Amino acid sequence: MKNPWLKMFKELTIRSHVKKVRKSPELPIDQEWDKPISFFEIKKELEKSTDIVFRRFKVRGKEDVPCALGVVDGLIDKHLLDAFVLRILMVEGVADPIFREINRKNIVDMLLDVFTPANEIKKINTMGEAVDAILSGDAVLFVEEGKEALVISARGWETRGIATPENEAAIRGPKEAFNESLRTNTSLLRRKIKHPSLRIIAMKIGELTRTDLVIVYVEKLASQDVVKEVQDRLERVKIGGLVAGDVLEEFIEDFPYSPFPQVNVTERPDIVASDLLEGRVVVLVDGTPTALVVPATLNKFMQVNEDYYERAMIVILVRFIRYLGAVIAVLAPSLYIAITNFHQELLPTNLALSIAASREATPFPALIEAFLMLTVLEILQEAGLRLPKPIGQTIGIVGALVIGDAAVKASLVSPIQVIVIGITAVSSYAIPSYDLAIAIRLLRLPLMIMAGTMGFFGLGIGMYFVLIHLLKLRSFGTPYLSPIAPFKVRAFLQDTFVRAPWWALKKRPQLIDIEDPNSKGRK
Amino acid sequence: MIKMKVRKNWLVLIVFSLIIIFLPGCWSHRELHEIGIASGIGFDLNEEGKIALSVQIITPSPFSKQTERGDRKPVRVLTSEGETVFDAIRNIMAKSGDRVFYPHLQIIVLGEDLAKAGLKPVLDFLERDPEIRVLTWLTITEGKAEDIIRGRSREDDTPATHINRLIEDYRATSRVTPTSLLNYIDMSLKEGIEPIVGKVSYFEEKGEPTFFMEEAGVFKGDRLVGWLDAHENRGYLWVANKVQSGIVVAQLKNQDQEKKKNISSNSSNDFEDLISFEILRSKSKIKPQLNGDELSFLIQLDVVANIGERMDNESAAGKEFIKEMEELLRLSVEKEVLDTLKKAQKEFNSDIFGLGLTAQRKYPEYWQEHKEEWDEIFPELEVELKVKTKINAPGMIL
Repeated sequence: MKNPWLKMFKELTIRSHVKKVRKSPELPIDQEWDKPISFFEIKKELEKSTDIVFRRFKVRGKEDVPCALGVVDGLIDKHLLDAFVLRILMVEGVADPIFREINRKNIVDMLLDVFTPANEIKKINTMGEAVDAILSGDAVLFVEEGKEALVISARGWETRGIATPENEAAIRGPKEAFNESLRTNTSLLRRKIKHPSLRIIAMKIGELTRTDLVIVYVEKLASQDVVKEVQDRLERVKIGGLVAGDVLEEFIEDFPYSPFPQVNVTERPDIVASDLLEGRVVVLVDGTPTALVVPATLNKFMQVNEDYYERAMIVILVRFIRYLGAVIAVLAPSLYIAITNFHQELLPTNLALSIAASREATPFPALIEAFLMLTVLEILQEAGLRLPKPIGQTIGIVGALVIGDAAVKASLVSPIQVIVIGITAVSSYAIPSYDLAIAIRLLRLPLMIMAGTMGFFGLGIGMYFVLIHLLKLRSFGTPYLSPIAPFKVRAFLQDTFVRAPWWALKKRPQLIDIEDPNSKGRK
Repeated sequence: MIKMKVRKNWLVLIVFSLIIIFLPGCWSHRELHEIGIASGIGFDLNEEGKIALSVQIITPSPFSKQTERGDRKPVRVLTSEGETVFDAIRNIMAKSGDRVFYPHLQIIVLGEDLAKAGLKPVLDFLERDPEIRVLTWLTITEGKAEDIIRGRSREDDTPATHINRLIEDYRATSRVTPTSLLNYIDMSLKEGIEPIVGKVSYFEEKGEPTFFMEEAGVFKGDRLVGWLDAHENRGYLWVANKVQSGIVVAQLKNQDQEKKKNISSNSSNDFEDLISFEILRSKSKIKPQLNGDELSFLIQLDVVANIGERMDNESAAGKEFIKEMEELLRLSVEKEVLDTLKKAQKEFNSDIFGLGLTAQRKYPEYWQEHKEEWDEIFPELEVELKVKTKINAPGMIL
């Protein structure tokens, strides 16, 4: 490779995946992870936390077998365990003639096969499995002296109910959102796609948190390469604690130094379901009410699911407005700066005069003025984001009064500048994806500097840089700008700037590489 | 090792971009309120033979702050002189305090003396300078251009905008010869056509400042040779295909009228036999014809009009009447065109209609042979005028 720049970028992309493992604290039990179960050692270690409870009892079969039930208080369904485990083993079972044949040797199998009427039960025999099971919320039935144990699924902890989406409001379409429970989330997807080809593969990430996560995809639709790549990248993630699934975004994206989002994050199951049917791969993480969807394209960030629920003709207009908003959000301040500082001949005479008149008394050059206004705008945005609702109104009033009115009256900034920044701010809200809107906010500043120093020439150079970067971007092998570049006619006409009516979508739009483009969702 | 290199590359990239941004700085940057936007510029030749320049610069405030307009004039006028045009322009800058900015220029006014001495030296600068748009209107005035540039205007308008509007309304009035800088350059570069430029004059009508644009200056080469008055100017416009609307006034003289006059001669006014035609559209075509070595021209004019008014308030209609009216209109138009043609041929010997151009296109061999002696041929040319008129609607009255 002769081009040093290429090499440089290659370095960067590789480096992001080989993160150093942060050292986790090591306990004696970690050494014995793969050894046969020893109840007393587990008890000794886990009993130090008060929320872990061991209920010890005797199974009175042929001989008395001391057993114990290890659970985390609060994660299990107590009634279920009382009624179907303890009650049977200690009271009701005794009446059964077969029960009396239980001895130290056959107890595990007997309980597994006959006496534990729980729907999910599994035999385990290593220390690690037992500890994992207890801490994940399962009940583990130990035979105190034995080397095997039973994992009984009796999870029952408090979760939030399924609420309406808060950040992705919709007028039409389903109004349910993911919540923090992984099982609930997968069930939401399963309820939408009732077909065996919907695959849900489990993984665990996090040395300390041991967070559950699943990779969801539709077999024969999602590209096997992408599924494998997702799996590989997730396996390579070495991290101590995975508190929220959003953290994974940075680990699995292709270009960590790009401002553009390369993973689609959504809280709506209907969006995820239609993404799955488009052949995308979804990562759901326990404890996180959002799903990560890959591969992501720029086009995808400009769409919302309502586009598919609303009638096609209206969608064309709405999408056009959205793209227009994005262009304005990127370019409006830079265009204003470039035109008023370098290319006054482009303005209609009357507009030039009124801008000149309004700027007569202002102290700063247009570039500085724009920077001031944008800074205040960003501060207002950030300040308003996390304010409790009752105080939130203050921001609006202060913003409108101070920026909109007083600053102009005090001749600190020109009214035209306020209009330009206002339009920019409003336009950036027309971008449906918050992630993309932030990226655009980030791009605005360098473009403004380029426009302020070199006019259209500089703006052109800046835009070329952005364009080249966009052309170079890939998300899990899919070019970021597809289906525009590389141009794919069908996908472009079906679902890009325009959306073809549903009845015209005879073939699946090839927005990304998928396994079988001619299938219609079902094999 | 590789890492070192990578870091070095990054450094180079960053340093490079910083150099790109900061080395030119804000080169050629100018804030909008620090430039003087010129709306009109006038060129004169002064007594010492120097180029005298007058520039009309718009003062921004009166437009935007309607309430506190006060006594501030919408424009200020600066003058300077120089050996060359560029010299004069630089001298203006020394006076103005602002950087004078020309792309918003609306009109260029040429003084009579300068036009008579030849426009070439002035035009070279106007063509060469990137700040002056070629679509700026070019006008000429009798006397000094400075008088036009110094002219007052309506309160809410700059004088240049006022003139600009007069010219751009030519479609509606069809009385103004619209010549942009580009048109002029085009006409002066082509063989077989001579430039014609709209004439602007300024006077105060009972204190009300007025600009008048219905005349034109005729050039021969780059020198002004004479003027066309309003009547002749329209004669030119007919042939140049620039009449799209407007009014033709004609005299009714049929027997019907005679009879009427006899019956009640004492009640009739002088103007009662006048009629106005409202022109809807007109189209002209110049056809050169070569007979042996004898070149002649046929100018075809198709005019469609309505009857706009009859001063005697009669509502006569019918095929016969319309035929008569068409004939009447034909005669009036013909007279306008022929008067101009005669003046251009005999008095100015300037081919403003571009007859030579059409001949050159149709008979290139003839043109190659005779272009040297075109000045002798043109005044003696046989030009036939065929005007076809059509009255669309006689106009219904009660």
